[in-house]
Amino acid sequence: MELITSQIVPSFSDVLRRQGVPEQATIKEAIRLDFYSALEIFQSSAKPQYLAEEISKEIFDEIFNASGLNEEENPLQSIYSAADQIALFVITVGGVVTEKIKECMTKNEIVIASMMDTIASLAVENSVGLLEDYFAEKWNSREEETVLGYSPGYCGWHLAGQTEIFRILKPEKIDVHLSDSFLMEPIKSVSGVIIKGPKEIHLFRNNFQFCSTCVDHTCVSRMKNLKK
Amino acid sequence: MELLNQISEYLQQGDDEKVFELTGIAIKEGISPKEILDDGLLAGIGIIGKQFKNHEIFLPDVLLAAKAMQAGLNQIKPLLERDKIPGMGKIVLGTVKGDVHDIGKNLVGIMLKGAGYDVIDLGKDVASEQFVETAIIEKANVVGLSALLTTTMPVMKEIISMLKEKDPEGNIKTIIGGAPVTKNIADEYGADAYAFDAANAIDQIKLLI
Repeated sequence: MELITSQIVPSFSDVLRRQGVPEQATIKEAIRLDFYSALEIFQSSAKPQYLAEEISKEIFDEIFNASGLNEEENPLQSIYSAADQIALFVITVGGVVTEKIKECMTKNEIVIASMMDTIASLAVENSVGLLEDYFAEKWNSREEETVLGYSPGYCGWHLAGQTEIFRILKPEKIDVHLSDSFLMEPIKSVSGVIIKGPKEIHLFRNNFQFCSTCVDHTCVSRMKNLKK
Repeated sequence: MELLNQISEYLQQGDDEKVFELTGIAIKEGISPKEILDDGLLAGIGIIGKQFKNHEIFLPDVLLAAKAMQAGLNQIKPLLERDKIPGMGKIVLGTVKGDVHDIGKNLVGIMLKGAGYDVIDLGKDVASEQFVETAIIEKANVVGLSALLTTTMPVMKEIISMLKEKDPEGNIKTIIGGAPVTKNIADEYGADAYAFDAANAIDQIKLLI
């Protein structure tokens, strides 16, 4: 699979939604124009790349528990334990995007900078979606099954989990590095695991202790989609 | 004054070119830079802040207005410095070590600059010592700490403690914010204030100085 920028860019409405703008809000023409400027800069500066590798459940168990810092109770443990197939991944849209965002901030083009930041974040998320689709096809996922990605930093999986993912995938090959504080550079990157299994293994009650401080609650919409 | 009202109006519309042009005219007409700032630019951004707080406008509108504010401010800043008109205060801002999420922090910085504060933005993934050293050296009034991750929130507590040790008189105030941060956490960490969003951060900082 090849990641192509035009396939991962979000729509204007997706960007507005992520920025907290309700659907019925009136949008100034200047904001619309700034979105298209941001999109153009993103399209010319993004270099989406990924690494992925299928691994066994046993190896992932070691990876998941290696840091010893995960929340004691978390949904992912039971999800991967019941999984049929597992793959690790790292995705990035490249470092030039971040430089362009900074450049826009310096030039007082703050709307464009903010739009670009949101476009890049959503593009990375869309890339994960494409990777999920790719593995669903590769693994012949049936209707009663699904393929979903999970990342360190969410659902009780400590950010330190990235160390093990990096040890195996070696994303330095695509210019993605991990800092001492487990942050990826370029920042518009994501790492994690893609899990295939029966739909019901991905369903859980989002009332873990850490759910109260979660900032996006994307699990809710993901689970809603699974129940459809 | 009609011209200053127009500056405020165009700022609210996010028209940076008009704000730039009218600020230039106001300067040529001999209106004092302080009046342009207070009755034109700050008046406009104040309304934007209220509308944002009331969910009448949204993030892109605020940024558009902040850009227009900056266009006007850039013109009068040398004049304010020439006239030795004191700023609103000096704020050291940053996202704590281990966290690279800086959109909220950037927005606070933009709005603070717009409101006439002198902002030293240390960026993201900033070492705790850097916050403390900068605040002491720069004689900052307030240190603003941002974190989006629950795992990085405790770093804010560390910085607040370090700051209290270096500044026992409590001249440098602290304010914290970020998606997982709450008023209870701010109290627990010993912060002087908590802000739930960018507009609220400006209000809280006004109260601190």
